[in-house]
Amino acid sequence: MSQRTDRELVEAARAGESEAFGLLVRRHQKRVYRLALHLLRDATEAEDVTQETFVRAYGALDRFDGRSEPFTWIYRIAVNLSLNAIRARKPSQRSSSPDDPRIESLLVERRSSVGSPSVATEDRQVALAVVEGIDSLSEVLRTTLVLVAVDGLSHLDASKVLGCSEGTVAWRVHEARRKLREYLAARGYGESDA
Amino acid sequence: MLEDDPTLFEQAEALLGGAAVPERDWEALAQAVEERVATTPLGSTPATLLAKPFEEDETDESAPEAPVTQLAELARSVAQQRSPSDVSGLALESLSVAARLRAQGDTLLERVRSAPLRPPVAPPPAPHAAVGDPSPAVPAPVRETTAAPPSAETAPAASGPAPLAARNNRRSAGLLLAAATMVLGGAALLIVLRQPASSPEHERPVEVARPDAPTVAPPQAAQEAAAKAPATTPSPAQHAEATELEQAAPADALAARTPEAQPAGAAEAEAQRPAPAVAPRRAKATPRTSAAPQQKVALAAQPEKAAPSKTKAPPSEPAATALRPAAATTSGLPQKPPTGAVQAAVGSVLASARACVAGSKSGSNATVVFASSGNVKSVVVTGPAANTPAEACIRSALGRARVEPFAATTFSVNVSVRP
Repeated sequence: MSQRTDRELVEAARAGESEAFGLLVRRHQKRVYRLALHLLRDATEAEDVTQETFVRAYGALDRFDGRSEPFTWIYRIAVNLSLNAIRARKPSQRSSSPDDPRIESLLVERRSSVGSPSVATEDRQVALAVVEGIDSLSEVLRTTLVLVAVDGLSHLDASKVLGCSEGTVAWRVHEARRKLREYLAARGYGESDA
Repeated sequence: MLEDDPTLFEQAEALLGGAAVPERDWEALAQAVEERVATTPLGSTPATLLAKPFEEDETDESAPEAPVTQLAELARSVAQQRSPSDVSGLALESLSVAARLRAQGDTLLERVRSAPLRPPVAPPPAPHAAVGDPSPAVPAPVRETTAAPPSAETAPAASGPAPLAARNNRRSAGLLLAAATMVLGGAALLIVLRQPASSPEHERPVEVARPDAPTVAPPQAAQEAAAKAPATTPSPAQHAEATELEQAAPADALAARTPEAQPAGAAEAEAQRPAPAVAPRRAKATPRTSAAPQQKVALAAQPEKAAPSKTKAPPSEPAATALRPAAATTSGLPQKPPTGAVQAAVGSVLASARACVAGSKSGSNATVVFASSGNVKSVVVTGPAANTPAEACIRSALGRARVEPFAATTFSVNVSVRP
């Protein structure tokens, strides 16, 4: 039996097939979690938001009009929940630290290809600078950059998640990268490429 | 170059793009969701969670916005924040102030008419500051309404600047409108007269109030008319021209305001004609009654100023052609957006576009095509930014420009986007 599409799973869930929605959760929860993690910078909160995202998505299944893909629709809920959580925080919770879970997330892939401890240390420093630079961006730019650069969404998909035009997404990503690059350069990273 | 490449350096890019999903107990998480879903009714999610996270035009500190330097932009931005009732109230108030000052203007014009001809005196800068950006606020030929009460067509003139009053002071805005109207009246009239009839490129939208309309426009009409009011922000070149012409205007303006030059009934008939809804008084002057000779008198009074005017409108040209005003459609929309309005619209988004090429050594060009609705139809980017990420960025930035609706199908403007 061929794998059902997201739309088919949504339709089945609407019709009362509970397993269909479970499949949808298992298919997308990792990416939703990664998105929430990079927006929230907190593993526990990211897990809570991930769970809440799917519960809220189920509660809104009757309003899914099919104009977008289910995963972009779910992503939008995840972004909104993450932003709500961020805005409800105290200001002191906004700083990055070496224990930031995003750093581990960024270093997982590199670790397998880098053997030298010195290089690994350098990677960690760069990763810390990157997450600090991302944190220095505005909410709009940071969210857009995470969707595109970290999560790998296309500009089209990101525009559907954010409810804006592709051009706006392109501009935001460009601007976020420019600012992040300036941030890193000011800290001595990437100067050799200049 | 650091600034030329919008991507991060290799190590950082590799880290960003290779972000992995940390290991969790995914099955437990999924089961927890399934348990909660079992007790979650459909329709329980608030709509706010389904809304787009950010507004399309939401700005942030990274998006440099051009400062509002044009009064027209300021007026438009404030107008968008005003309720219709406020606008109509301001329109009526402005009309009353304008009517009072118009009466004073008649006295002034009488004095000008009787005064001996003298070399022009440079006008003080203050009126030009007001005239500089009348935008929708001051359709110039409103002055042609002579002493008749303002009609429904005059409503745009009065209601246009009302938002400006909201920004400062309602009464002073009304005075500003009236003063700008009087100062511009004669000058803008001559601008219209000096437009070569065969050169649509130089046509400017001009609206003329019906001189015989007996009553002040009601608030509702004022609102509707205000919505249709075209932006008439003159370009710097037009400023200079207006300044120049203003000095030669009084005699001509007096001629235009002479009652015998325009019988009331004829004016109404002109206003009802489907032909260009502009300067009916001038059209009536075609049979060589008084307007054309008056123009000659005005030009002769300022020979050094009048010379270029003659080159634009040769005396041999039939009066009807020479005096044909700027084009406007029967719907009241200008044929194309005024230059000043286009400059203001593009200027308001140019800073964002320039940010797209920040750090580049050379600039790029963009052709912005406005649709008749006033929205940007397309943006074509050429130069170094073409086929780069900056192209979409520029298209997005310039695509936010907006002008007042106009009659032509499209209107294009070339924009130089320099870093």
